[in-house]
Amino acid sequence: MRSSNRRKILKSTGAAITTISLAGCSGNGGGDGGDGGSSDGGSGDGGTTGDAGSGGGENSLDKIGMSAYVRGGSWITAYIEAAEFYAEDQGIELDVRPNQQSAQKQVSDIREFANGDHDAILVGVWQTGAAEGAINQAIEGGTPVFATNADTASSEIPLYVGFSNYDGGASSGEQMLNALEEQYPDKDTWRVLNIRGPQGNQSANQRSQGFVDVMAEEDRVELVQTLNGEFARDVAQSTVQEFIQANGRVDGIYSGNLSMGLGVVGALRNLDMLVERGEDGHICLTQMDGSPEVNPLVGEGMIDAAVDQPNYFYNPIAMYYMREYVESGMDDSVIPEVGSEVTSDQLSIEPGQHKDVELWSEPIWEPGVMREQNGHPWFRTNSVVITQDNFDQPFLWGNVWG
Amino acid sequence: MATEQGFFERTFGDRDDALLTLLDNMIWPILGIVLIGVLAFVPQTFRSAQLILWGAVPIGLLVLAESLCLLSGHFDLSIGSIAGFSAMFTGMILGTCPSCWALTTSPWIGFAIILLVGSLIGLVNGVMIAKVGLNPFLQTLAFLIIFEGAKTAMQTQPVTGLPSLYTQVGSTPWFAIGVMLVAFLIAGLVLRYTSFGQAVYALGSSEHSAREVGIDTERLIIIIYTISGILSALAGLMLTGFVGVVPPLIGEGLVFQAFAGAVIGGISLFGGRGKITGALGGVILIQVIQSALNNSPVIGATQIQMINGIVLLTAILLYSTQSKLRARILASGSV
Repeated sequence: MRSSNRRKILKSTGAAITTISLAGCSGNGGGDGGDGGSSDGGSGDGGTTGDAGSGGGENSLDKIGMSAYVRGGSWITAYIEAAEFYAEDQGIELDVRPNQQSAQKQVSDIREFANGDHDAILVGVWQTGAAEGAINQAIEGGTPVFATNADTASSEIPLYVGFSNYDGGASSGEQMLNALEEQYPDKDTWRVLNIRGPQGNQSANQRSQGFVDVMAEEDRVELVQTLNGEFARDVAQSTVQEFIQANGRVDGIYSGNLSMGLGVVGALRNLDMLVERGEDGHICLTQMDGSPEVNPLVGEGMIDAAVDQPNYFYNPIAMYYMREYVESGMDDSVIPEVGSEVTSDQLSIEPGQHKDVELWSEPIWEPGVMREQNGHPWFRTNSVVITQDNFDQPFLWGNVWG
Repeated sequence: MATEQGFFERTFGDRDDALLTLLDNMIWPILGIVLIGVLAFVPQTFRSAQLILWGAVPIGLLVLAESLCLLSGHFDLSIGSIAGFSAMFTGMILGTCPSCWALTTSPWIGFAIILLVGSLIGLVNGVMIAKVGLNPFLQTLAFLIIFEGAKTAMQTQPVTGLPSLYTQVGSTPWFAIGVMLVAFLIAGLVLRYTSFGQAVYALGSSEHSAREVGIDTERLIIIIYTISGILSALAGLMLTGFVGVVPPLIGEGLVFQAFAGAVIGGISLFGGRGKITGALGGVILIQVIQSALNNSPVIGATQIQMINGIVLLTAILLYSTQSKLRARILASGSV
């Protein structure tokens, strides 16, 4: 349940605190004729719903602070750059700060954004629960916080945008069953290996569980082992190599992210077991995420299917609703209702020319299904299954950020 | 009396000498016991013996780098970052991916650059510690952060399109294993039979005493950190070959494994004690246990890290007992 009443009280309190703070601040020094964003100097009404001044802040989305994981990898590059491109197109200043894989750093950044002149905050949280206090504080202080890609435990945020890791894992499982049926129709038992991400990581758990649950429903599948590939290419490669050498061939391998998927391909290549689909000895491979390296491998038939995310839509979708939310004076009604379905007729992300393509021209996120998670609305985007039929399409992020 | 000596004494000389030798080489009986255990409970692990050793090459070279620093009474937290940064920097020069610099396709220039980058970073580490007088912990911690950040700033995507010879060094299993073993062999021989090696142990035992007997400790520290940098860069090269590309997170988190390998191998954290061969044993032990855990149907993926920690703690307890036994034997005055 959304605690709208509680949120309104918090916002009112926040607005009051902000007003008092501003009033206090305005007493000092009397302004230096600066170039800041203060509207009309003096002792304006200062509230969050006052007249829009000349420079911003009041009911307009001019500056967003963004705290996200920026440690490397083409996936995260696409996720961040798409946010920067969209902000640029919309005339919004985007201040991106990497969390350095530290929940503490993320908390500090969120607090700084909230105490600064940012109109709203975007977060891709590093740990689900860790930043909750800072996010709630920011919201209480009148700065809305939207989450993308990785959800927060805070029930106060207006919206989280991202796909479902569990559904993605399940979809990979379904693709695995299709591939096994096609490759080994006469086998009584299919031996399958599950390569998961780090223990304790929510995404890793959900992606693994989604896959395992689908496998459990099929009597012909023997889930031989779940190996921890740590979301890392080299770890997955060495672990899978050693396992297959020690325990013999398997019929299928699922990887919980793109790095591990590429590690698995490397392992099979080293073991002389990398054969394209349809050929004798092909080991069926499905995984989460496409990428500039994964997509061609799908095209060659080495990887049977990859379940991809519309990652370059996450932040634009969040910013679209963020703008409506801020401009409406933080009215919850601008966020689609939980239980509803959103299509491109209702939500249009304006395409822009970036990276030599018309970015966001294909609404691969649709339909967006509004769910509830951690007590707040969740815009659950659709995922895309990359196969030999569509591996080279320009709407796949891996073909744009190559 | 000689006539009353039994077989043990005749073979090994004094009983205390034999005990001390056993204590100094404790990793090998431990490794033997572990191998027997693995053979009994997870025998399929040994089908991939070559792969276990191949996978151990990058971490083995980092363990060697760390062991050298530890023996001298220092340590280097930046080895993983040096491995990652030097590999990424060289990859950007050699690679043909869209965001690469693609300055040359010569693998030989690549070999030179990666080792040069590693040695320069190591040299700066050494100069800052020996000449400027910075604390090794703080200096190498700063470089860990700086070069991990620099790697990310330089490139956040996998670097592909590297020359085949450049990657073949690390992607050819027996060659890579050979490089690691030769590195350990050279380091072992140098430390045991040369004045440089004796100086390293002397520095690790007491820097003041080493200076008193005429060892140029500042120069020695700089050389040690430079070698550490070269070995780290070599680990980066091997890691690049093993994966076939330069992944964006290359080298991250390896410093802790390197410390664990060195400590399990009997290298003292306080300097001046330990054998390079022991460190090699530590590397093999870690890799065998890791592989056995992965191959065991009884152990779940989520339990492996905990068990690795227990192995490390057990090793530390064993070496703590070893130190007490050694002290007792030496105090008995018979040696």
